[in-house]
Amino acid sequence: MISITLEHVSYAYSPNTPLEKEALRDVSVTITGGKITGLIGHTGSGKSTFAQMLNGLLRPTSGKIFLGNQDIWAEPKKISQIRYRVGMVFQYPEHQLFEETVYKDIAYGPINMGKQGKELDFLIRSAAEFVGLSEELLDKSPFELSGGQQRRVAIAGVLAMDPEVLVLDEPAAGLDPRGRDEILGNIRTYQQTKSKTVILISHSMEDMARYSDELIVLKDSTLLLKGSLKEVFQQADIIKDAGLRLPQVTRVMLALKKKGLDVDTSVYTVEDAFKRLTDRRRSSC
Amino acid sequence: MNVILEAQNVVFAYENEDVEARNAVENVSLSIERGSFVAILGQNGSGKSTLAKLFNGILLPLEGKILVDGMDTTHEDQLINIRKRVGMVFQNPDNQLVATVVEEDVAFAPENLGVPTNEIRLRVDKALDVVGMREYAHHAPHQLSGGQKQRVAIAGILAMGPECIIFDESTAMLDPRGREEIMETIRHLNRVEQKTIVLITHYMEEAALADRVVVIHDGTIRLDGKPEEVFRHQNELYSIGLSLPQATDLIARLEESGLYPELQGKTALTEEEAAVLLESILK
Repeated sequence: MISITLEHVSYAYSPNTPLEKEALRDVSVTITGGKITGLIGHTGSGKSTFAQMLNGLLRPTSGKIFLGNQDIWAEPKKISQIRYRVGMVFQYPEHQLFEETVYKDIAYGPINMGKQGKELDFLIRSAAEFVGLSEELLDKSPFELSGGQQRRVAIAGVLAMDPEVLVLDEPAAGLDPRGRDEILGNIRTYQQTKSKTVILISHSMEDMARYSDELIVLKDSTLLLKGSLKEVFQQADIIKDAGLRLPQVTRVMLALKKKGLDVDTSVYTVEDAFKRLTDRRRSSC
Repeated sequence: MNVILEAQNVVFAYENEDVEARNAVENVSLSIERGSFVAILGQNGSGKSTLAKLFNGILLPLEGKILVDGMDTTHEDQLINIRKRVGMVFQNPDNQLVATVVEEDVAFAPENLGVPTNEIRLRVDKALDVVGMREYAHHAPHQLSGGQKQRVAIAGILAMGPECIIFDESTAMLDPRGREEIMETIRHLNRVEQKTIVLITHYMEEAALADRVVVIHDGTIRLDGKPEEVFRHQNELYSIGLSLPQATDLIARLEESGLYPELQGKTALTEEEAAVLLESILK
């Protein structure tokens, strides 16, 4: 259960040119090992830059990034090793599928890592299983599959490299409610079963409330908040100020509180709100 | 005439699909009233985007008819008029902006339609006002947030002077504030500018704001009614991969629990409605 630590990390695009644009400014934070950390912030807040620095796709303009105790840029020539250890699923990853069969597509990453034989086959099949792809789909062309299934193939391709840390940028974007729950549920199961460290980027606070343990909030290229889901979501004003909004069910509780009712507003899922409100009724009867 | 969009027994299938594959749209009949705000819900692959593309003539029906303000989409000489009447806003704002300056982007379509220059100026200014982006007229699109880009895309459609705008998952790639901006713009377009709105979305909260919700599954219409009616069919919605807005879901579960008999027959579509219902009971 490896953690990632950023120490005074800044990043600028096109540094020392008139087009210089600061994407992250002096961010220091630790991503806890063995948990799902949600990364939230408005468009342009620096989330994608942050994510791409975790596996060395971008190198900080200043500051250091540690995977466990290891400075990932200590030996720049070995950065590809970091990319195997920190797996990255980009937005709309299904656009990057290219092989003739689902099996071969999932195999691409682990083969590049030098995996072969039984171990390779095992990695592919277990990754497919984690994302809910059935055996018979493995021999099909990925292009015969639906968009939601293609998304699973792309995610399986990263899981098959068995990374220690998994970073996912909007893995449920564009999916219907069931598709969202299935994919995010699969990621939760994978994370728990294998005790992995997961970083999840999403614009949906409802999804964050259900699937993340801790949250990091970015605003205008800086770190605004970091803490448990509850610690972060309790800061309603700061969340709003960051261009975000709390889950709708939390907003219901906040509206009740505003109307002068004594209700607990640290409620982030419908299940929680239901439980609080039924308990309240039972105790008052 | 009160109907602006009409599908009459429409069948559509994509080419080179498996022979056994079902039709993407299977015998759909649907009338959309002028000035209304209709949300279309459905799973990925349900046929809802196909239906949207049929409505502005990007796709043509294999059987049946699509009428836009009485014009048949299969009549090629009417296509330009149809597209002037019905505009579409898509998911990714980056794919919809073509110019390097906001106002030029908005002027792009009317210029192509041969609208006179003075008239273009008026239309561009008005369109940017409506979406609240006038002050960004001279900005480059890439400097804008996702919600702002999407509002510029909407202004580009408005400059064509459509009566109806179809939004095909236009909030899917936006952050919460961007989604809010677009939903406010959509409501303004409907209520103040009196545009007919067809909103295709995966967000139940957004559909709850419409006057009417149409649910499509496997290419056919499953539910059609006011949001409060449609969202009462929770089991059916869940069975086809959809859900309820959280506020609606909470009230429905409390009603079902038997502990809140006061909620019998009540529905909430927004957080305000849920809070009002609960306030009256818990006080």
